[in-house]
Amino acid sequence: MEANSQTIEIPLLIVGSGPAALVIAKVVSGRGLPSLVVGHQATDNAEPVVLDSESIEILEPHGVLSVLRPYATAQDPFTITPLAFENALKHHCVADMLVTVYDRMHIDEADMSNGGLHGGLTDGNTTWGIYADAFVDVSEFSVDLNTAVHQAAAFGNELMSNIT
Amino acid sequence: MPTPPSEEQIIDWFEDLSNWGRWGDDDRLGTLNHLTAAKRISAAKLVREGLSISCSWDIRTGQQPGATVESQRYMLSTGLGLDEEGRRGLMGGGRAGGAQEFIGMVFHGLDVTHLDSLAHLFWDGKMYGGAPSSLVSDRQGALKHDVLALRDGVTTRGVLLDIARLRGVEVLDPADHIYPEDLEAAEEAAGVRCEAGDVLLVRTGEGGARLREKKKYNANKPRSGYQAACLPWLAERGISMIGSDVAQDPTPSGYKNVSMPIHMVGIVAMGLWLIDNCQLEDLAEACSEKDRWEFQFMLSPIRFQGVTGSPVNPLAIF
Repeated sequence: MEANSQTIEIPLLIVGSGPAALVIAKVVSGRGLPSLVVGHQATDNAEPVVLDSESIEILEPHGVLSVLRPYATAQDPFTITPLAFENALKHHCVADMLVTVYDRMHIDEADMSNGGLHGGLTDGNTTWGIYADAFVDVSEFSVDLNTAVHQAAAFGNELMSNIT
Repeated sequence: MPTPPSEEQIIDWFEDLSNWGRWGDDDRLGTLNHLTAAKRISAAKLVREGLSISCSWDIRTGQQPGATVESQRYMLSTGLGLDEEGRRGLMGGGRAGGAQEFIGMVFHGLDVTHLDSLAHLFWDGKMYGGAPSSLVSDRQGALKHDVLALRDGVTTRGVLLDIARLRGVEVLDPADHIYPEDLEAAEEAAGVRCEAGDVLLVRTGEGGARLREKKKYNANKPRSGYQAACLPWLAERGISMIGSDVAQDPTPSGYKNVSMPIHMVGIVAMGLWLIDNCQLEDLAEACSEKDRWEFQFMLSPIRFQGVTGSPVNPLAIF
């Protein structure tokens, strides 16, 4: 595996699959914090889910609801499949100048301390040194769409309150 | 590998490489001021064969790798049924028919071949020339530096520097960034020298990967591109516009606060015009076959008021 001299410094590193990864990225981006989403894959759940009022309140201020609206299976109550939720939101993250998305990559040889991470980011051929001030692995978050959105917002808000 | 400039150096370039005021206080052309009438005439003389090659990708509906949203095409009227004689009778005279559609897309991103106007990016809340970023608004789009600045199009000499070919690889490793030394080595190999007013196209080979992998192509990944060290070089040579088969800046760039130095310093400070996501595979093949790496270059944006760029189909003419 090839090492290289370039390193990645990022305030927040988000790894793991599922909707929470993308919601965290949008929540902190809306408050000016750059993040890197690594190795995200959408869940394959195509069962429509009604977004509860708490999820709506979380997503609306960040413009996320407007992005999702064309993909909803019903508008009132707002209903969407987790698959469509993630596919649409992923594109929105890619377009966000504060969010970087790298698919098919993973972190190895990570050293975690004080909530941050120092390690290597690899695509299997090349490895970049990575220094993240904060780190979250969303694979521990709920698979339920609403709960994942709540957990993501709670994480994002706590992180922002620690920074500001 | 040359030493990359520090981030402090790049931030200094916002001033040192600035073209603000150089061509007047209300300049809209930026580095395209390097392009003179004489240059256009001499570029036209490069046409000897009458062969024209596109440097653009097809725009397709449906999910595409690297596309921000799916490009939209809604038909307003179609030819469906009009080839059946019975139906035709329902349409009055029945012999004339036609089709129309609405199209829509987000051309910025990693999919569509597009031009960035000088209203596309801001640094410290300012656009090129010091115009406030708030001149780009929801209601009116870009009130300054929209793509109409290029309403008369661009025609000049184009130069292709094929860095993948120079390295002898199909596609550059994402950590192998392109430095001025590489541009000069490619110039030497091609027997050309980039001059004032030229459009410079640089090939990393990423377009070949996109052709081979089709829908499976992963655009969300590290990719090579122009290292920030190219900025003073581009300024010194007086390049009017750059393009590549990536989005110019390598990712990751290695810089924390100016993560896209070519975009940021280029557009905001220098007024440099960028063509992202070119399809350079066909052009590279033609250049290689002819052993000719210069050509007449033509590009014309849509004249859409208030828009921060344009989908484009740049042409190389031999």
